Amino acid sequence: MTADLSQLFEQYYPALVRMLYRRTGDRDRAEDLAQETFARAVSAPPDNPRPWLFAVALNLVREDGRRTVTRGRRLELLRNEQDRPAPGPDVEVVRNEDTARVRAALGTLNERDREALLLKAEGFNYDEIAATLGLAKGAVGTTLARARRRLVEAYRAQERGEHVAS
Amino acid sequence: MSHLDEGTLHALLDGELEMTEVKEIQAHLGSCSACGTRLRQVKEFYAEADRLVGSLELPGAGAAAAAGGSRSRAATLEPRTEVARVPAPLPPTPEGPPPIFLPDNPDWSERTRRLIAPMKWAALLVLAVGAGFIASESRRGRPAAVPFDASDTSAPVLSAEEATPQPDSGALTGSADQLAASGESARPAAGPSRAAQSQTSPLVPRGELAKSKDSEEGLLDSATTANDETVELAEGNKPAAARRSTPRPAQPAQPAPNAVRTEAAKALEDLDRERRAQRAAAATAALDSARRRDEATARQAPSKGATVVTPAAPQTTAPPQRTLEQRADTYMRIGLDEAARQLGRPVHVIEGLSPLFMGLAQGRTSPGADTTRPVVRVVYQDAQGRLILLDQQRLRPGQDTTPQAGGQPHWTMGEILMHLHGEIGPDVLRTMRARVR
Repeated sequence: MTADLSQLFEQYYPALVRMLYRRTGDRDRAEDLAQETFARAVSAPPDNPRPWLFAVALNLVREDGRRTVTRGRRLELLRNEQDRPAPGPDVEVVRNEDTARVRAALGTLNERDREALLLKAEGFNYDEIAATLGLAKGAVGTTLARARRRLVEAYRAQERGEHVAS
Repeated sequence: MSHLDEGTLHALLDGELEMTEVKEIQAHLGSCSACGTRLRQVKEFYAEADRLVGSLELPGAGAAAAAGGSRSRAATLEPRTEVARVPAPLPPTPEGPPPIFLPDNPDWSERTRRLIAPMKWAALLVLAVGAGFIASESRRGRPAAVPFDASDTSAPVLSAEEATPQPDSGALTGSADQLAASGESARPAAGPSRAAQSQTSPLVPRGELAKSKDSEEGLLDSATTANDETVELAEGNKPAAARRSTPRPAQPAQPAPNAVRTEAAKALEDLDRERRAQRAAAATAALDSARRRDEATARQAPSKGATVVTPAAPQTTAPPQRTLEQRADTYMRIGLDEAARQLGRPVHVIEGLSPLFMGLAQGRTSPGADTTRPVVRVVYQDAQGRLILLDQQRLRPGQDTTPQAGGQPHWTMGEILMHLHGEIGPDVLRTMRARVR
């Protein structure tokens, strides 16, 4: 790995893993995909690294099959049992419930809206989002607007549903 | 300009528009209440979506774990080569967040009220002028156009003050102060007060105007009981309690012409005051978000049984609701990457809590921090809505790290100066310190 790639790795790996974790809900899988992304960057160093890395990572997510997801979840469970420090049980339960609601709400979005939202959360500007997702820059605002509105509506709908059920 | 679409508003909030576009949008928002309402909704979705996505942190120790995990995985690929990192130049510390001024968008009821307000005073003026005309006609011995009390008009008795030259009705078009002075020439104490009022700055707040109205009340207390109704109308600007508490001693009836002139002068003065208030309102229309929020709240929850507020009534605005950024005293939201750049290492977090957001705060807002540099502030909120602030600043050689007064946790972790404070007690903060990773 050249010095440039090493710098890229240090600079973008955490953000890439975080975005992939938000996208997949699986930490091990996110790390695997991030590793694979950088492996591809080694073979074909990108000119504009950030959009390139995230675009490749999102492509890998799409290509990845359901079997990998299942395997990753098993690994995640194992990992949880092994080395995760245990916060207070109440805090953990509440956080897990909320996280599940957010994740489910995110799952209701279409692919493009979800990815635009996740890239924006990583600090991408509209030019970078457009370059990563192959959108026109003028369409990014509309895409993000739709994504944010649908995410919040879906999340609130779940909250209401749970309250009614309980 | 057509209505603003949602995408444009999101681009505005994301800071993706050119300054010329921003100005156009601001101008449009000044004239379109529908778009103003939409902007508020969009801001709500924007902030909520941001919070939801931000809550999806990596399991375990959050951001720090992410960075740590990545490094352990990196080691499996290749021994990590330390790259000499030049600390990123710190951004200048602004005095506060850049203000975004958005124009006022009064709703239809507010616009109607503003439209009707001058008409009310105009009607009062016409009434007063008409009464003055009738009175002057009756004094000259000509039959009045409307029935009038013969006891007042048929045998006019000029008092000492009436014997002095009085301006005719044409003077009604002049300054209200002139009329007021002539109408009250027999009251020496009224002179300076009136003069002071006539020099009142046009930017006098409404509350001050109301106070000056109260002071006038004493001058006008000698009005005849026949004019009490008119006085009551003018007093509609005062709170009901104040009206009740103002004693109005029974005064002997004065000759009607004098009372009418006084009333006409008062009406003109009220009109002048209303115009001044309108100019002041226009000049001081600083349209901040808090005010719009208050107005929106007031519209959404119309108070049943609330008294109708007249235009010149002192506006008792509730204290504006502070945003989370204002409560946390941060001037800029940042992401994990920026926080890591600021600190030269991954940001520390409180284990088991999901941060609301991270931001930069001025150094002087964090006890013990270097005031010339910003601090990275991770903001949490407990179940009661109280904020917990975890401040972090990269230490510089020689920087003082002694604990601060107040019992708030203040310590160092490696090269990072940590300070934990917020809206909860120091005991709880000390407990939370043990969970900082």
